[in-house]
Amino acid sequence: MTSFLLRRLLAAVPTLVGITALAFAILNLLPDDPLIAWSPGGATASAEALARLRAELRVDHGPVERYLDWGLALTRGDLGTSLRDGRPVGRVLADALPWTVLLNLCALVMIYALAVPFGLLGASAPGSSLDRLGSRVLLAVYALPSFAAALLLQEFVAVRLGWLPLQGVVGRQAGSETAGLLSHALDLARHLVLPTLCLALAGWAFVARYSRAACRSVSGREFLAVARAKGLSRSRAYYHVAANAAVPLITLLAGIVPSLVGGSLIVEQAFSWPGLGRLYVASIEGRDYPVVLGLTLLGALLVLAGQLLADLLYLLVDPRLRDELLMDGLDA
Amino acid sequence: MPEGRPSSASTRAALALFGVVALVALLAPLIANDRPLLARSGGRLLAPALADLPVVGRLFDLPEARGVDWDQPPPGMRALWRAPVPWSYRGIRLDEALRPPGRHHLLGTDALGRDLLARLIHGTRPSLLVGLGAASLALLCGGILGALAGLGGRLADLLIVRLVEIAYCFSPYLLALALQAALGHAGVGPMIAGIALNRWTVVARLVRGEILRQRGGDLWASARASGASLPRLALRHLLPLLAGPLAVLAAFTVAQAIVLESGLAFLGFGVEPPLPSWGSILAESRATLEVAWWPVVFPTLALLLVLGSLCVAGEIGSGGRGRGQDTATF
Amino acid sequence: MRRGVPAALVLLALLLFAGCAPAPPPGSRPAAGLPGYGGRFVYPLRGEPHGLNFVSDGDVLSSQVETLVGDSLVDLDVHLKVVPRLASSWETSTDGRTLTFHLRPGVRFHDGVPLTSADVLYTYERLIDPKSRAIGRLDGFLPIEKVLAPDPLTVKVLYRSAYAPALIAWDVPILPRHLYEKEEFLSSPHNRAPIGSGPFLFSSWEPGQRIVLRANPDYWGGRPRLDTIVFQIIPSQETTLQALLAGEIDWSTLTPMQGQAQATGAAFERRFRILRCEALWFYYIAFRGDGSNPFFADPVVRRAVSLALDRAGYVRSILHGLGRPASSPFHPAVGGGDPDLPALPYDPGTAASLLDAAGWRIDRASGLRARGGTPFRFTLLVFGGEPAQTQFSQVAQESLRRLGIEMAIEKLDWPTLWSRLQKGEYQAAFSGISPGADPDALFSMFHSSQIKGGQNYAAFRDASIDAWFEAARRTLEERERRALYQRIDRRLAELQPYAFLFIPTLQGALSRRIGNAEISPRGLLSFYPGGAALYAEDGDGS
Repeated sequence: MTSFLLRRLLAAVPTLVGITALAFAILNLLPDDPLIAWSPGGATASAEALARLRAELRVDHGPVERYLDWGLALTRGDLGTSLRDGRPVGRVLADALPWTVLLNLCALVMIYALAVPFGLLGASAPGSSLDRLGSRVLLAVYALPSFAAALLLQEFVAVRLGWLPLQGVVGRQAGSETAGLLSHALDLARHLVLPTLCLALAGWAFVARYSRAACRSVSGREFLAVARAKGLSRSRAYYHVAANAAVPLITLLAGIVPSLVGGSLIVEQAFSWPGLGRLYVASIEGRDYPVVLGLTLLGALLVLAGQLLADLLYLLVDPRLRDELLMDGLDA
Repeated sequence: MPEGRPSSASTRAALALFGVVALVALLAPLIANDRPLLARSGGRLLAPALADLPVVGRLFDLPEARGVDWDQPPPGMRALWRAPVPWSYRGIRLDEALRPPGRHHLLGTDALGRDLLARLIHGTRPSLLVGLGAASLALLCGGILGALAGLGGRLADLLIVRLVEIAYCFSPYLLALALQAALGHAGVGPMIAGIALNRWTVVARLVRGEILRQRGGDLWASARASGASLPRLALRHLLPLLAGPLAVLAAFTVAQAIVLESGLAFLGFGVEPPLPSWGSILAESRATLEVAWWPVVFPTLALLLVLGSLCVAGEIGSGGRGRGQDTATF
Repeated sequence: MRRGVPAALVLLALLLFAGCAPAPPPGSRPAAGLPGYGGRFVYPLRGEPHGLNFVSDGDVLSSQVETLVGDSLVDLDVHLKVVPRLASSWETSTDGRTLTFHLRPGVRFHDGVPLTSADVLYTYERLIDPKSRAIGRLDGFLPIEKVLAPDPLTVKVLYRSAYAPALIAWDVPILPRHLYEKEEFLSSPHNRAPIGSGPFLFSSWEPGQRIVLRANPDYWGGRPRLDTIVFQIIPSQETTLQALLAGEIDWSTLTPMQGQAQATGAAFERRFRILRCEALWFYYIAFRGDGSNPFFADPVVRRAVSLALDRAGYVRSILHGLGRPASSPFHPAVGGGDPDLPALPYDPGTAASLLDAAGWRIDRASGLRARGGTPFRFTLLVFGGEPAQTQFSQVAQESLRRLGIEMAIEKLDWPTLWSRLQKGEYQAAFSGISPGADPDALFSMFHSSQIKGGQNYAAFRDASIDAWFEAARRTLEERERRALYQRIDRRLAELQPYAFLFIPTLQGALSRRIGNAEISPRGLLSFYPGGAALYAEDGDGS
């Protein structure tokens, strides 16, 4: 087990190098001007003023050299400083990361909590009217673009009904220091509901479909019938089906984690959520390369961690896969 | 293929629907056009609408039919047969902005007074182009590289798996934006490339995984024993096995690409105006949602129909592939 | 479409003197009988400021916060007139080269240290140091020879030559020298927790969420009525309005469509009040006229294209009248333009005959205008992030198509658009500009010295325009200066290096809880006293 982990971690190093090198190359393709980072909206300035600033900001090194510099600093744990606000990139990321992780964890729980039971239902009674209705609803939800979903949820739940807060992470009166820890937590939870729901919408149909296919193929082996014939209780039989079906669901987990981070971009924008997605858009718009690189690296780490986690869960659920994984050291 | 399963009717319906949409995309200029399909100029018969067709349009392009206002044609000219939707997707009429659905404009007009139905019909083209283009590119690249990884040596496998991991980490949004900037123009090309560059990894994973799984199996051993070469093995035995999962994946990839296209349009980087896509119609009408529901609802319905038919078709594809196969390999 | 001369005069006079909501004199306090101190005002910011260093962070987002935390020598009032702030008075020498400020006595920074002329001197030194990256604020300080601080309450500014727009540049908040001197300027912790001498104290900055300010009880102008101002970061316009309706914030700008659809009805009227003002903003199309394309080096062609644009139609139907067609770069709120100059009409007929005369005739084979075998086919760059810009571009595209000109539209993100404008790698571009509160700000758009690396994107070169702009910069006599700008205006109307299009109307809804509010052409808080004069009806005492 330890050697498996170690091998996986070592294997991640060249991947990370590749990812950052590619990101660096892509960023170098973008036409830009170092002044962009300091002139949001394009401040009006004369040629003389701009020339003075350009002389100060001139980049002397070539891209390869700059990449090596960046990598070297990274080995010391230094991600560079943001061009936008002069803070260390690590700090900028650390401010946004917890919010995105929180949002995505909640969304993940919400996706699985609804999609897996639905998948099981669909598999146990394929073609039933409930199954058909459910599929159609999920399909509709899947086809709804996330910005439209956000707008609708905000308009009806937050504005018209006034049940939940519309945007942000804290209420209007936050900071008045009268509230206790519990009411802070409650406030945050209320702010979490709509963005989480919005983020989960697209995931539901996807996961339900896969889990349904997976369960069905398991039941398709007459597994369920045999188990039932053998006198297993209905719930017990379902448990076995679920355990078998969990394998592809776990793989899916590894696949969904990165798409959630990328996918939360529009949701974060719509709900004024102070997370990585919004930072990503702002940094690309502001050509804040150190932050974009830091975000890419962080994203890659999350993806790799998701895959590793999935593999560990594999081992837990289906010990038969153990040899294969250990031998191969790579995910299928 | 559907083996008389109860859902074969809905498969057929789904495939037929997708086919109809594809046909609409292909023939959009004949369905929605302010130029007539058939007209008379002096003694000659003209077909002005045909001039807007993709490849063959050139043959029908006549100078005298250009720039004619067919609602009030000049003397000697007469429209004989108007297109079913007699509006152009780009004809701006500011005085008719945001008309609700009615007799003249079946689905209403947008903020610039353009006929929404005409825009939706022409919008199928970039939407499907992006969807199908990105999916086929992803399937092609992913299939080849995945097979190489599974069948080639250890080194090839190692390199390709690394490549998959690397490419997988880049959001299609970033890729599309960067490609746009690097190529120096916006539009469909960078979008297809950006989405495909991200999605091929999923295909490659699936193909490689299936090959690795089959390698240890009886089928493989017996085929190898009977002297089948690797490429032959791949084509004759693996491809049929993979067809089902790949069909699901393809359907989902097309759907995802269409959704991503609308997301890019939302961020302001869709197709180049005045060309509409469903995503760009949605993005444009976001600002007017409060006064006009139609420019939001109809493209959403169109998306729903196409994505729905894709999902149904894809799912049946996997189910209809036959029992006994393990669909749960990915 | 062509307006009569008297009508134009009346309109201009109306706009100049009554363009915005009638205002009490700056600095005035709410009359007796109004609610007392207290309450919270939540204001939406479209994005997160880079920082709050008064010198380095001069963009729109940062300066809205900075003008409340910091104090500048002078500032602009709601009508864009210069008013005293830290400087209680000033005088200009007869040769126009020396500007002397007399500082208000007894002003202290928020940490209790007195503010003196040494701080003003320090702020100037940081401004002109390129390391400070004072983009956008640097220009007004480049003509300065030196700044002297003869005593703690006097600042003498020596200009190399007479410089008419000198005063307006001094709206930069003054930095506390004693705090910055000890630190690395750009990475100082004070850049994210500023200390100034303004009406509000910086309280907290929660990244990505909000910036909170509290009233400064010891402000020299009197404690502000509000207790707290919260700048809530909300990136989307749709969400901003919804947040206003949900009661989470107190102010939201309204797009014309939102104003028409959502900001009406008795329920809305009961809760909110609409404020409107013509924005200090222009939309224009720049034509690259340096001969790099075969079309736009010819002023006749530029004029024809400009005549073919239906400005009034767009303002009427898309902006719902909330805007004003404008073909002159001189903003009515700033002044300077020639009031007798008729606005450019929408006249496709004249446009067609101008093009015919310039040799661009309809080619029967292609249906496009062409000259010497070159078809009239060009690309317009446009910023993709704002739907209104893409919309107008499409209207222009259709108008030109009817004229036999094929215009493609390329949507770009802002950095790409900016760098292509700067490098001149384009044929035509649709963009917007905030012209500044002094007509001299247009120098950088039209003077030939600004072609390379500046903002003269059109690469416009005209000897008399250059000379008049230079002369106006040196001319202190108001009438003479105005005459020069009027000549510039007339010549630009003739040459059309840019097609100026329209001025949008700034429109927003404010919660009725908040009183004493006015809106300036730069926004709700971007003038003095602005946020310092607001009060909350319900002073909730939080």
